This record gives sequence, structure tokens and C-alpha cells, in this order.
Amino acid sequence: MPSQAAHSELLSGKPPSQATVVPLSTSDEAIVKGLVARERWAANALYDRYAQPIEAMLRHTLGHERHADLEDLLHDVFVQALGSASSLRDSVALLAWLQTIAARIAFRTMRRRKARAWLQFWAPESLPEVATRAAGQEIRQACARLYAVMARLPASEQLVFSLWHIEGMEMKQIADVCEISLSTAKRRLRKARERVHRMAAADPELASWMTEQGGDT
Amino acid sequence: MNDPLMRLGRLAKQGPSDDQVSQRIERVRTRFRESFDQAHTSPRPTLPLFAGALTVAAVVCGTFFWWSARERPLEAFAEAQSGELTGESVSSGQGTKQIQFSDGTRLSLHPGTVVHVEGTTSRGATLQLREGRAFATIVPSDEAQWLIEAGPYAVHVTGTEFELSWDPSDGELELAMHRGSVVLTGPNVPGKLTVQGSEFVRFRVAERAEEPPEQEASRREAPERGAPEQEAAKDAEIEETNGVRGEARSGSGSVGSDAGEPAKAPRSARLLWDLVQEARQRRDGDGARSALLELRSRHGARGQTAYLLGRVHADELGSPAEAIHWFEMYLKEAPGGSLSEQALGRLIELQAGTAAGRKAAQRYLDRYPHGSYARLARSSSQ
Repeated sequence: MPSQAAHSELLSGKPPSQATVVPLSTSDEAIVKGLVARERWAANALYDRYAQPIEAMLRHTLGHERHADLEDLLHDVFVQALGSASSLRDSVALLAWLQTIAARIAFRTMRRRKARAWLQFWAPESLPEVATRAAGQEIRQACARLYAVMARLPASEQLVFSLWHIEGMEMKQIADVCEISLSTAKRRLRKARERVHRMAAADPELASWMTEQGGDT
Repeated sequence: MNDPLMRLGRLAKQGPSDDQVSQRIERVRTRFRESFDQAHTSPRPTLPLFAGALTVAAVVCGTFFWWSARERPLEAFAEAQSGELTGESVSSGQGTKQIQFSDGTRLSLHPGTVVHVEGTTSRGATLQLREGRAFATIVPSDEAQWLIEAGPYAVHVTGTEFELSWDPSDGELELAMHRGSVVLTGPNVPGKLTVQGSEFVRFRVAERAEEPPEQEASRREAPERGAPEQEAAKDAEIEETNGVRGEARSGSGSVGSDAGEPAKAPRSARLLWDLVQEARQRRDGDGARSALLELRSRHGARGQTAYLLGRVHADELGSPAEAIHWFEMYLKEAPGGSLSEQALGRLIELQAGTAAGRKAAQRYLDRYPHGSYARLARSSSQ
């Protein structure tokens, strides 16, 4: 751990080119202070620590092969985070903060895709299928169909649905990340599930898969 | 998990392979760092009134800044070390330390390691591992140009992970590859040796480069000079042993009962260094002292020999006055040497509670305010 003197120097707000103190192990609090002081090491540490979960969240909500711009979106999350770092509080939970930014970006992306699909008559069905490590062709197709069905949901419901069903977040966490109330989050999820079940039942591949899995479509 | 939708969601979560994800994250990391640099080095242009003209200007400026950023030398950062690192040495002291470069390259220093940052370019840096062991993670790039020197050895790197250790007192270099490959050159290394995969190599300097003899300042050192040396063969053979791909061993010698006597026959510097090492391992202070003194008198070896004599007197022979003499001698002979911090630290310990100790503590704090002896120096200087 860095000494107290090192920490005080670390947090002294030197311009990035003069920053010379890099703690080997940094707490989130130190990163927050470093970000506020626009320290380069803090930006690097933020990315090193949280790029993986944020990349996963974006990939889960948007589908990794359906968005050639996933790298752009991941980049946008961290650039926006840097831009708003000056308003950070010391005690902020960095991951939750980044997830909120990622959720906003995912939501905007979903809306943009819908608009673009409508303008270009670009049906979700024509998108490349989603590859997973879950082996079988059947599962791959079912996953691809799931994302295709999700893409027909309103963006607000699509986001909540994907965070719940794919990312695996808790409802309270979803409400926080989407900046909505818990009851609104629950209501959106309920509506989304109803819609997805309805669309899945009408989709031959999904319906077949769900029947095989013993579910009630 | 009875809901098939939930099950399908979990399957969709599995996504691409870890490698694909890692590569994606790595690519974005580079872009993110560039964005950070641009945001903190160039002011944002205001909204253009004459859009066409200013767009052209912005493109020109953008290209200029991009090229400027591209050619800017890498920046190096180290824990608890102030000022520009270029031209500076980083010592891990008793703990560990990490040097970070602005391209993401990292050098983790084990305890007792000293690394000198010789210089940086936009594509890499030249570093000197003066003592100890370091784990290097070099960010891969086709244009990367990293050079890590350890004594007479040089490791050329373009992007890889490896562990490098250099013991100047023994003249021994160890290189353990974790990933990628490097090119190693130096004494006993057959040409430009490519070390790759998970290979491990160890080389020892066959014959130390001799410095020009100087007038011996110490009263302890025998002035006699023997006949011309019959030096041992310089090149040792490369052995293939127990996973050690190449291990160059210098000629060995043992410290006999007469090791402390002035040499009857001339002994090569290489042999004497071996004798020093072996004597130190056996905690034979007299043997180590004799070999070190002979290195100084016969081969003009300065600097490091003085430091080792200080250590031998302090740790093995129990003669603090002599130890102080030799540590001071080291600081005179190698004022900017890689062992200066340790020498000053030893002087503080050996002269604790005296005026000389306070003076040494002050000298130490002036040079190494965050060094490993800083706490001791502060308490001693009061």
C-alpha cells in the first residue's frame, strides 16, 4: 500500500503530465479522487478494473454480434464517465455509476437501432445470429431468435428485460441503473415478459425450443 | 430455473470466447487512453461560424495533434517517486514497486530491485535492470521498441511477458518467459538468442569487463601486481540441463585456506568474482574480503567492490568502522551508483545516534525522500 505521504501527493491534483505517483493497489475512493483531479492513472485504473463487467453488460443487453459498434459503445461509456467525473462524490460506487452510464448508452442505442431499422426496412431477422459458447446449433438459433424478439420490444422494456433475463441483475439494481423507480422497473419487466412470451409463442423456432424445455409458451 | 426464457437468457449470456472479449477490451483500452490524452492536452474547438473553413482547420489540427500524440515519448510513472522518471533510477527497497508507462506497459519490481529509466520514445523505452528481479508486461505492438539492459546483457522486446533478474555481484542473468518472445544478446549468449514460450535461460558473465586501474586509495589494498594474467577461457559452454535451455557457467574456483593471502599466481577477475560469491554464500568474511581486495588491487574494480566490502565488514566480520569506511568509499567512487541508496542506508544504521549518522540521514533524505530507509533517516536526523 502506498504511504500516507504518497497518497496525499497522489491526490494533489497535479496535471496529468506531471502525475508520478501510482499506488499498486487502489481503492475505489482513491480512484474517484484521482478522476476528480483528472489523474491519468485513475482513468487507467478505472478502465482496468471495470472494462470487463461493463463490456459484458453492453454485450448482454445489446447482443454481441448484433452490434458491430460494441467497441465504440464501450469506449463511449468510459469517455462519458471521464466527462462527468468532476461531479463524482467521494463515496460513489464506481461500478454502479458506470452501469448507469452503460444503461443510458444501451437505451439510446436500442432506440437508434429501432429508428434505423424502420427507416431502412431492416428487419431484425436479417441480423447475424448470436454466437455463444453454448455449443449446439439449436441453442444458437434460439438465442438469435430471443434477441430478435427482444428487439421488437420498446427500448425501455427491452433494456429492463435484458438486464433481468440475460445480465442477471436484481430488480432493485435494475431500477437504480435505469434511473427509474422499483415499481416502474417491475411493471416494465412484467409487460416485457408478457410480450416476449406472446411473440415467442408465435415464433416457430422459439416456441419449439421452449416446448422442448418444458416451458409453457 | 424453470422458466425456459430465463434459461435461454443464461445461455445467451455465455457469448464469445474469453480471448475475443480480452482482445476487444484491449483495443478499446488503447482508444480510451488516446481519448484521455486528447481531452487533457488539447482544448476543444468552439462551434464554428464558418463551418466549411473551420472543418478543414479542425481536420488539419486534428491530424497535427494526432501525430504529436503519436510521436510523444511514453510517460513513466512509479509509486511514491516524484519528478520525471527519465534518467532516474527506481528502487523498490525492501518492498515492491511498479513502474507504469503511458502505453500500458508495466514493470513490477521485486524487493531489492533497482531499475534505471534510461530514456523513452513514442514506441518504447530503454531501461537498465541494475540489480534484482522484475516482471515485465510489455504491451504488444508491431512498432514497439523496448530494450532492457542487465549488466552486459540486452533484452530486445516487442510485446510479451517475462521475468528478468540480474545479480551484478554474481554477474548472473536469469530470464523466464511467460508469453511471446524476446531476443537476448550478451556475453556467452550465442549470437542473438530468441527466447520464447515458457523457456527459462540463465547466463553468467564469463569475464567481467575490467575498468582502467586507478591509484588505490585504500591502505588495506595490496599494491603488488603479479605477472601477466593467464586468464581462463572466456566462453563457457551452453548446457542443456533440467529445463534450463542455456546456462552459461563461468569457470569455478574454490576459496581455499589461502584465499585470504595475496595471490601467488594471478587470478582472473572472473575467478575472483566467483570466489567472492562462494565465500559470501559460506559466510566466509575473510575469504570474500581477500577476493574483493584483490579485485580492486589487481583488476582495478571500483564501486561495487567497495560496497561489498562494506557489507562483508558489517555483516560477516563485525567491524563497523571498516564497514563505514567502505560504504563511504563506495559513495565516493560511484556517487550516482545503483547501490547508493543502500550504502547511505547502511551508513545511517551503522552511525545511529552520532553526528555522522545524522549527517548521513540528511544526505539520504535529500536524495531519497521516499526511499526504503526514509523512516529511519527521519528518526535519525532529529
